[in-house]
Amino acid sequence: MSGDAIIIIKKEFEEILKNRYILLTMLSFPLVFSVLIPLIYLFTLPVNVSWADIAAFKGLVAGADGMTPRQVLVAFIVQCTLPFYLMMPSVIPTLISSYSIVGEKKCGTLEPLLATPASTMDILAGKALSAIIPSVLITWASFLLYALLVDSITYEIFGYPIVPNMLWLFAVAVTAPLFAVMSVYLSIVVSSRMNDIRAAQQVSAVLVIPIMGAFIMELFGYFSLTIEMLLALSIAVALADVLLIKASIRAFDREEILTRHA
Amino acid sequence: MAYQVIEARGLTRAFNGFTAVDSVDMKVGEGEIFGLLGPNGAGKTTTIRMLACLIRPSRGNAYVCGIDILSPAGAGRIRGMVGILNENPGFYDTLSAYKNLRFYADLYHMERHKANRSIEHYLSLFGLWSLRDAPIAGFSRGMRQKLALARCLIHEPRLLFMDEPTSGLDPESARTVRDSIRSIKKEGRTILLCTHNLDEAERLCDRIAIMNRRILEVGPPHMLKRSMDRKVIIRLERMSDRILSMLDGMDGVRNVEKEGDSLVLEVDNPESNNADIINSIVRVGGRIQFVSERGQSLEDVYLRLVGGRHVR
Repeated sequence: MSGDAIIIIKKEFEEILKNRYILLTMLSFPLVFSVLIPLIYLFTLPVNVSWADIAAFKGLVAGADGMTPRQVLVAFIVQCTLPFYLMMPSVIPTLISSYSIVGEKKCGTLEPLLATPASTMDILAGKALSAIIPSVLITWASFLLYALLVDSITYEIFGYPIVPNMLWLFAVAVTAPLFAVMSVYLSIVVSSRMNDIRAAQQVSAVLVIPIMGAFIMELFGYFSLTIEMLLALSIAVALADVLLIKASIRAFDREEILTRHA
Repeated sequence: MAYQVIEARGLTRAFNGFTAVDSVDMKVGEGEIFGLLGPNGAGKTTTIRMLACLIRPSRGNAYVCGIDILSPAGAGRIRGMVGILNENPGFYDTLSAYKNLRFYADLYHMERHKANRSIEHYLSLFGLWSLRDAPIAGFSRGMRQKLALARCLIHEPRLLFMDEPTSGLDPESARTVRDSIRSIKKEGRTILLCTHNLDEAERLCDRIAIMNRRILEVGPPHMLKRSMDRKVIIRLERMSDRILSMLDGMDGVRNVEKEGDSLVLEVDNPESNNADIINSIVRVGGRIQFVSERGQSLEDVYLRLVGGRHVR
């Protein structure tokens, strides 16, 4: 990555900070997933939980045998929220990257940018990183906030902090950034061929729907995420990332953008 | 011979079987304002995009500032040496005028102090310095066009591509832009100006190419006007049938018309035929009061070329 990509990233950040829509949407994620959900735990957790109440998902919580029924319930609920931290880095980048490519086309700024000596790779890297970096940082900040709130709420139940554990750390540190990369490059491929910001933003649905499906299936006790599953998922996403980066290099071509889609 | 800033040979670009630009040959010398005059869809913007290495030609080649537009390493170098003013210049509306220009100056790898000096110079030149920190969103069309002109100048390019630079501007802003184009020429820079404003082309350009997918005619505006349908007007003291019949069969005279006491002649080559014609009239007793030329306006030339010779 050369200095041109950094120049583009700096400019993109300045624009993001001045776009109220993107800012509000980005900040709503930590508010919902890191503050609202832990507060719901606090006010809705039953005090008396029997083994019969949690029989359906006891087997899905690692180390459940050494826990009380109430602890198993809390651990299960906390575990079920993990997919949200894969959803966050999948949704936020599309907000940014759809604006940064389709928005540039709409505003007529893409041609002057393409007319500079900056290489296609630098423009692409600048656009991609300016969407990946804030998405990953927000995901991490949200997770930190979530861990603090969950641990402060559940400390009296467990006597120790339950988040983060290895599963969470792997999900947030490895899988989430890979999802962010996938989301950004998918968005770039689609945005390069579209002239409507909202249509480009629909890309996130492609990623969010399977993640939400995983969340619902986990909630209904069909399966429980394990490190092995996350590792397999991360490898699959990393491979998809490589393919999408190649596809986006082909799609984000000066000629293609100016002649076919501008 | 003057250094050719642009030298294109057979430049052609087709889109899905449709030839937008067909076999364009063009030479533009250093310090020249060269106009591309043509209707919408004539291929002017496509020609600029090919020369600025934004799109590749389907056939043919060109050298811009001595660099081959087809050489892989040349594209970035050419883009660094040219400035482009688009027909509808866009800006990052939430950022200030200064930050917008700074962004482009950085991408042109200008040193910090040079960039600052250049931005201040051009914003001041176009009367925008006091608005440097204001977001572009509140700028009028004229202000945006001036800012776009500043953007294509800040890195001091040798060659400027200007696509309809005064389109949609009020007369005062259009005049500012035209004056700026003249100042840029005085600095020795070369300008390729695309327009369908005939008056603007005539006033600004050293040479004009009339194009409609291919170049139909090239030359200085006054030569283009003289290149077709030139008529020689000879005002006589008194018209006579003898003069008319004498001229009717004369070599080099294609057509003779009578307008009162004036003769309107279509002559093959006025520069060499006029002296003989005048001598002949005098010899048959004609008394000549005035000899003048009736040329075509650039608009006549343009409409005749573009309307009459559509390229298929």
